[in-house]
Amino acid sequence: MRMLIAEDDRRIADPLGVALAAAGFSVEFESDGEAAWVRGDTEGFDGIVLDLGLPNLDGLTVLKRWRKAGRNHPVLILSARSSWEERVEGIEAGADDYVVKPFRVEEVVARLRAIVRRSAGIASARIAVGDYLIDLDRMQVLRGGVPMPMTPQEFRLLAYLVHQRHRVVTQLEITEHLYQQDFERDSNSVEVLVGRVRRRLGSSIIETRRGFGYTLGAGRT
Amino acid sequence: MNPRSLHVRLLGIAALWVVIAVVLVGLALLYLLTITLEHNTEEDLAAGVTRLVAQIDAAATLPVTGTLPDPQYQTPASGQYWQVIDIAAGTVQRSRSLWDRELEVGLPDRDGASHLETIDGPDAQRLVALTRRISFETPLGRRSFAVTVARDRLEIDTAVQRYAGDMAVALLVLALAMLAAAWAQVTLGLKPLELLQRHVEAIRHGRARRLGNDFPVEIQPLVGEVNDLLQAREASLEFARARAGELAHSLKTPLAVLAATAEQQRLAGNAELAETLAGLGRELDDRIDYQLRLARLNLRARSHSLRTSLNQAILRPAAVLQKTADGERLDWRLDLGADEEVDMDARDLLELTGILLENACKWADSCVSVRSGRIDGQAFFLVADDGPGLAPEEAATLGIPGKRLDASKPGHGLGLAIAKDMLALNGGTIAFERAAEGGMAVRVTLPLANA
Repeated sequence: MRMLIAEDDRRIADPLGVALAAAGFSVEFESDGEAAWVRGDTEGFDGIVLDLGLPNLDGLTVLKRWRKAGRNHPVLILSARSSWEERVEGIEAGADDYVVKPFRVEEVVARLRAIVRRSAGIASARIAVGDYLIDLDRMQVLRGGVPMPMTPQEFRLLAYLVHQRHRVVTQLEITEHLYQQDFERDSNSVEVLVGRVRRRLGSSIIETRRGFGYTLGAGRT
Repeated sequence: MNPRSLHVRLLGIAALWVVIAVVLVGLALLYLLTITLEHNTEEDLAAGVTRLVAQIDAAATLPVTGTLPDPQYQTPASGQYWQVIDIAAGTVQRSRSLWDRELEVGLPDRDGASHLETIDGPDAQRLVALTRRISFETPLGRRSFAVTVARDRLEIDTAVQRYAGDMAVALLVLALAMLAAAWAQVTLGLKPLELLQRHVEAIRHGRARRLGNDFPVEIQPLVGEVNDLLQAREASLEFARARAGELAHSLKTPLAVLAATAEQQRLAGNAELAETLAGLGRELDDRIDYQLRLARLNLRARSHSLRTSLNQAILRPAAVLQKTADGERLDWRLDLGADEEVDMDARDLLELTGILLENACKWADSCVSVRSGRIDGQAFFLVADDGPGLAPEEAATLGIPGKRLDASKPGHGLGLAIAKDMLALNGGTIAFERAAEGGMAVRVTLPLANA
């Protein structure tokens, strides 16, 4: 899951980035309003943390431009302004949540997760796939209440497929959403990752559509 | 009738000068008429005297030999009289109309001189009498006579009185016409002031923000000044709010950094330091937040009325909360009545409803219900939840800065304190009750915007 943090203060952006990475997201940063707008407009993000006080182009304008252009990625606003008028304005401009500074990092992570999940049309953080229960908040896969051993990258792949479960996802898309931008794009690495997940959870957890890509499977063992 | 009213003053002055002018004109006209009538009478009397003198035979014992042609002189107390006095002898000859009465006239001091006077006549008549002294040389010597012709003054007085009556009616009509004209002039002249008053009222009732520009040149400068004042007032409010916002921004970003640092310390294993830092940060944040939110409140004169839709101020923050993690799991029952316009700044009202709805959302187990409407000439809304609720003794401590019912939930109990302050500033009330749903219910009343 690829996240953009649009925040000009590194002292806030960095710890947030660390926490989001720890939560299984692939994180990118932008500190300028204009640049944040361009990236959100042209690249596919699964969620964006948007500071309202960005230089060059304020966050609210950036958000309005995205929504006007039909970009409906989930957006969480970070703002120093705590009045209800500003909160309502932010949400009515198309934000999915509004967090007032100062905030606890884990709260932002939890709320970002929730809006990403909601925007994918998933009501609960625990999703049953066949014999497995995938807990998006705790980043665990359980079978019969027992956590399955998994690496973070393996879980990220599974979580991304859960969020996109009603469609086929291409290898390129998976690469983009799972790896940092500077990652050397090797199509083989996605195949290897899919193979590792299948070995752990059974081959039916991920289906291959030859020539198209992958989709979440039935998950029967 | 307020004596401080310009309308009353101007009309009063106009009425005063109209009355004075009409009375003076009436008196002058009556005086002129009386003089003219008296002058005519004097001329008639002089002619009568001349005709009487022509009848005098100076040698006779009774000098008046004939009589004057007017039969009135023959009828007793008719109002027409003559009298001739032989000055030396003291004998008096008079018209039959005088009967046995002698006129007491003043004697002119030399021959040929005339003397006009008002004297008593028969039957309590008041007479105008003209007396001329005249002398004749006779064989027996020189004889001097005082020849008097008199007429009842009643003729003059009656004519003057009749005329005065007619004139009074005419002058009254004139006075009324002039008063009507004065009223029209004053009303027309003061129209712009009434318009100004209506415009000011519209501003007070929140229907307008500025005075219009359709005023006469004499009043337009005043209107301009007032508009400038209004603008300056709004600008300074806006400026203060913007500064408060800037202050928030500049303080909150370092606080966010402090919170992040605390988090890093916690991850690095310095749990105690991390908790101290985080606690300090939260406390600072709450205190700053409380003061900033108070600073942003619209401090306004109570006479200056505002109008804000109550239901909009409930629906908008409710929509925001329904999207949050706390809010999306709840059942929101919005049972709003006909929309009321309340006398409160839109931003402040949104802040108030936002605080109360968020509070309910925080404590609710499964549902938040909101009702709104009008009761006893005031707008009200009620926010209820099915959370843990409160005991009566706890209700008393609610809304005191820093008092919280449950230390496990975030915040320092400042939201309700701000809500209380807001309502105090805006003439509203807040009450905490036990909700039918089982939790806490907050009942707020607000003054309606003026119609």
